[in-house]
Amino acid sequence: MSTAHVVDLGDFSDHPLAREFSESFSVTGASRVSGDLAGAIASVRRTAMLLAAFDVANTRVDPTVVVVDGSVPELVSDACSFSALLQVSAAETPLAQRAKTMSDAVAGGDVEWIVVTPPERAAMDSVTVQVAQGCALGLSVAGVLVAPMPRKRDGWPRKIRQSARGLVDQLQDRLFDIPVQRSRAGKVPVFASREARGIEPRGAGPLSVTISPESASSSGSDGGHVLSVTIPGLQYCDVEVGVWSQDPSYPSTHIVVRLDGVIARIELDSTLRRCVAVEAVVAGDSIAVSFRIDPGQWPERGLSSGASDQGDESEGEA
Amino acid sequence: MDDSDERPWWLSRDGDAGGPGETSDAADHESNAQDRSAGSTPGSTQGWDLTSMLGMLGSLAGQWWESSGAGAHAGHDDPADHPDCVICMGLTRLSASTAPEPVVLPAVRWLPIRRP
Repeated sequence: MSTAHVVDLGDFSDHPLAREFSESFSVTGASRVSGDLAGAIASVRRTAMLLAAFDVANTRVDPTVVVVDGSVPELVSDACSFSALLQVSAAETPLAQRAKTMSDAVAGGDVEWIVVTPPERAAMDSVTVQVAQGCALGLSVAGVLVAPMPRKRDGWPRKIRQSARGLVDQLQDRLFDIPVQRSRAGKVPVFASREARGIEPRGAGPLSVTISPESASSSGSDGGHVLSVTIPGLQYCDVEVGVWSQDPSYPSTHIVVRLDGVIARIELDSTLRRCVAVEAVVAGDSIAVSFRIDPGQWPERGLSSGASDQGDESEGEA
Repeated sequence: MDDSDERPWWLSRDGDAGGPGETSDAADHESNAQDRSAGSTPGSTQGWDLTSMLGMLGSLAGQWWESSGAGAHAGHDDPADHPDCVICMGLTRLSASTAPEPVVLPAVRWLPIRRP
């Protein structure tokens, strides 16, 4: 990481690609404007800068660290939504291709995120939610850095120092396999890679997704499937779950998870695309979405054979 | 300006009098009377005072307003609801020509959530 190229997101405000993107989504000429106009303009601008930063970083051999103020999940969610919008509109432009490359990289776990937070309770609560949002989006969370920790030599009382350490431990408990490290001023710890921590890669991205046949006793249905997603910090979020179809040929092509207002889309595999989502069960840090076979999508076989054919499938996908 | 000069045709105030040189005798007579009555009025021009000219313009504007349907259009809210109104039709076509149809993402179907 010592050779990393460090840039600030704001450095890309005048980048030609940022201007091109902003102009493409300009509100000028829009027939209808609704919602938060100022927020929408700010969102377009930040998304444009992120796209420009990714474009620059993607061509470099050494890693690029982009310093971002504010909520990274909100920024990435907006960028992915713009990419989805371009794909739905079938815009075959270089800009649309760049946006897709970026969103694919995010969903595939190719973008790492190091979260930095001060040792304060409100900040810790916010970080918990943001980590959950980032994981749902597919960001590979390298770790959470809590800094600067209060030091004795700076005159901080023992009680405050203990409280800060307690908050770090609490955050680690909430986020289980996401490493949380504390640092005093001037020292930056190195976060071990997922492989070094013994976490096996699951599917295309860092998100833990499994698909299993639905047990008959749980639903009484005839051969459905259950998609399970585990997201660190999920239980501290306001959760909504839905399905969305990018392709009208299928009932749904994506699971949509909204965590405290940030939307993440998880792409479904070919089996679940041909099923209809029934309900979501949220327990702890896991979401289980049950699907039933859509008879219209399985014309060549009966319901039971269609289910058993995919019965023992278990795979990860993000 | 000399009264004997031939007046421009558009000052004849007679709709039937066509172009230059076609002013009728009756129109001349009426114009002369107008000249005499308004000769000392400040702002008078060729026998027409400013007030009557503005009145005529106002009348013409009113006639145009009535014939154009603009008065009826004033009560129209959404142009798309009034395809027979010329102004609404124009507004609809104008908006269609300047703004492409917005791309709308397919709606998300939110699922019921059960918490055991």
